[in-house]
Amino acid sequence: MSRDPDKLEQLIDGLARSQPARRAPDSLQAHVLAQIAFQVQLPWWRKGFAHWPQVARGLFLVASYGFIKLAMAGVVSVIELVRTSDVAGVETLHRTGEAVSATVSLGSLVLHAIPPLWLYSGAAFGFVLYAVLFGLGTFAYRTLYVQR
Amino acid sequence: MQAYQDMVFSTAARLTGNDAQAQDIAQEVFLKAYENFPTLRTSPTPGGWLKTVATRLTLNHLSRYRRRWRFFSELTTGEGSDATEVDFPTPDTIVADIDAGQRHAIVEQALRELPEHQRVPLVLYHFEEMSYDEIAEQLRISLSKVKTDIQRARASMAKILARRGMLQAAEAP
Repeated sequence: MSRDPDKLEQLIDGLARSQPARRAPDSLQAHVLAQIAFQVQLPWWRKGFAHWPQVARGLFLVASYGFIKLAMAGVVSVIELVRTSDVAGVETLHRTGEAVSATVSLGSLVLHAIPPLWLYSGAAFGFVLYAVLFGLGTFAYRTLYVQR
Repeated sequence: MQAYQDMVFSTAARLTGNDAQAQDIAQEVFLKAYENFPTLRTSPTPGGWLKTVATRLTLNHLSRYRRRWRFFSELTTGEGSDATEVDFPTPDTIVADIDAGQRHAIVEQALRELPEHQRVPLVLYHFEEMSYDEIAEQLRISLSKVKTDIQRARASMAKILARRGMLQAAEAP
């Protein structure tokens, strides 16, 4: 038996160096070739940007620039519209605020009307359901994927 | 492809400890090689390129799943808690009457039995010949953790090999 870390390192290193490469499964090459054949058949617009024809790439860049300009012009127009909007716009905003405030008040009332025990039980039930679902997901992953 | 497929598959299989995942990763490596064929054809070291890509893709794969399933998948299998302490005597002599094929199979099996946080740095250091600094950078962990994990991995591996009858204690002089 040894307590010497250097000796242990030499031992594992020796084993690693004498270890030949694992043999790849026979199906690997066939899978790769099938995937390459599939990719070759794909039309250019379903491939990565780097594989697009020069003309398509150029047109895409021009179109992107146009869309960005259009979006910026749209934002500027909206800001301008809000700045010059009449009192009706402010009134709408005020009403929306009141509606939100009323909804929050109603929610608060309902919450206070429910007994605390019910609330805690509901929260605990929700947590248990979440944990069970997470556990089932993990079990499925470990049995169906990791052990595969 | 035939010249390098065993090397690429070995790298992925030893790092993941799972042949099915290794095959998927190896497939991805060769598809990337196909995409980069014009540069790879003139490269003086296509094997090195393939090994680097295989290692990088495998580590990406492992970190993706580690993040996703860390809570249940790894805590329950003891990852994060090191069952094996460094400071214990380990068997250090290879039993002579085991043939090479059997020995290689036992070593591969022992690698699969190691927890991921020990197996990955051990494989990177001893099989992929990366330095401690490179491993720390690749795994985004501290240098001291890399050294500790590798040291513990060696001890765990020696114990597994001894359990499978491949190692024994050296006789006292």
